[in-house]
Amino acid sequence: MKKETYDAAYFSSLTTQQLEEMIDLGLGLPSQENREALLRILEVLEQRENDAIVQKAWEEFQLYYNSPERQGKEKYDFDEAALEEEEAREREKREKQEKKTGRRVSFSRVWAVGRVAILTVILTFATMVAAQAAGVNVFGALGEWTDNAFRFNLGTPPTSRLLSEEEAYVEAFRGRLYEIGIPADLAPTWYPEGFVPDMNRLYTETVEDGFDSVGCGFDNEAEDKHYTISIDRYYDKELLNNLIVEKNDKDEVETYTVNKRTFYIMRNNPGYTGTWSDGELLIVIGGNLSKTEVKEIINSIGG
Amino acid sequence: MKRIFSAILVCAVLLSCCTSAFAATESGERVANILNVYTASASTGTKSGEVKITYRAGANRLSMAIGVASIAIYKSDGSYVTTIKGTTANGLISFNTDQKSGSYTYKGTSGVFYYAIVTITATSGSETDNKAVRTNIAQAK
Repeated sequence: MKKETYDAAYFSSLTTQQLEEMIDLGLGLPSQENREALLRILEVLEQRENDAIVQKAWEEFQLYYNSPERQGKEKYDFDEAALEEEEAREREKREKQEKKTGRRVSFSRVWAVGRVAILTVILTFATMVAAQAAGVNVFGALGEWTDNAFRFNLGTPPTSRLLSEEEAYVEAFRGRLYEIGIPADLAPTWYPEGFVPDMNRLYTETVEDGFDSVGCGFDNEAEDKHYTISIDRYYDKELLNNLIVEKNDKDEVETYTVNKRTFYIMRNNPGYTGTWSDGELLIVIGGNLSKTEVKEIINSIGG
Repeated sequence: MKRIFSAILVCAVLLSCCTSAFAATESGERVANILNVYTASASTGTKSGEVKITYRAGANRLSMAIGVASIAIYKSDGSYVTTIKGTTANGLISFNTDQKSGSYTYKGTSGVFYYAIVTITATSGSETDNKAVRTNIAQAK
């Protein structure tokens, strides 16, 4: 490159493309002069960029505020009525939003209140623990428990209570009888010690135009003994007429009357069976039961 | 010697036979029953030619299988018609329960009188209890 005076005036006379090419070629000058020339070139390019921005802004201004449609009007002639209308709309929208969400609450205020609440809870709990350690039964006052059940003490006695296993079985059995219209007090309320009602075998069966039946199975797992109870209502009298209750061959049948119901007790291996009918209803109790146990079950049937 | 030996042998055989007979007549103990109550009946069905067989089986313990092993259909004059075998598919057998009841509808000839011999069954462990019940006579619709 011909060595000339590389000042701002020289570089300003070149096009932007020429200047960029010079940068790419490394200027071809001794290094100190390279640096100075480079600085001059960058200054020229920056000035040209700023000039372009200003020019563009001026052109936009001319377009919006000095257009042929605005000839004869003030340069800054804003439509005040439209502006006021828009501001009113914005204000109304803001007010509606505030009504919906309620009072504006800042996070700092919420945090200030929350801090106090948290501290109160911590202090209260710490006091309760300290009191408990000192021998005051604070937690006991809030709750009470037995061997297998816990409840909260709310100051008034409970209106319901946990049923024992026996009570639960009786209530369930009675419920089933009631559902199909068989007198609920026919449900036996006693079962021999060691036996447990298998609630999965508490059943209700209905055969249309035939009969309805409710029953339950009982198991004594420790001794591998079992028995069942069923209470039926027959609509098909042929079914009741044909019904067989199994008994041992040649063994005698004993009658046992309780609450005006005469039961028939007979041996049916491995135990005894007791049965009663009034021509419509039928009760059968049978399985690994002694004669005494069958009678005790019969005794528990309501009058 | 041979005669004495033969005599002893005959006595021994006679004695063993008598003992067996004695055991058979004197033992009043039966094997455990599984079924404690059962019944079946026949009635006129709802559609033409139908006869409804209703049954109930009750056991004194949980049974692996309980219900109707078979229903043999006869005309009122005793002539055999057909046998329906009980399965879980046709609803005549249930598993793991101590009660099984229901009905089965046989499609016969309208106006003909039928009865059935229903075999009630229950199995618990290695024991099975089967009892046959003859129903009343019913007319097919």
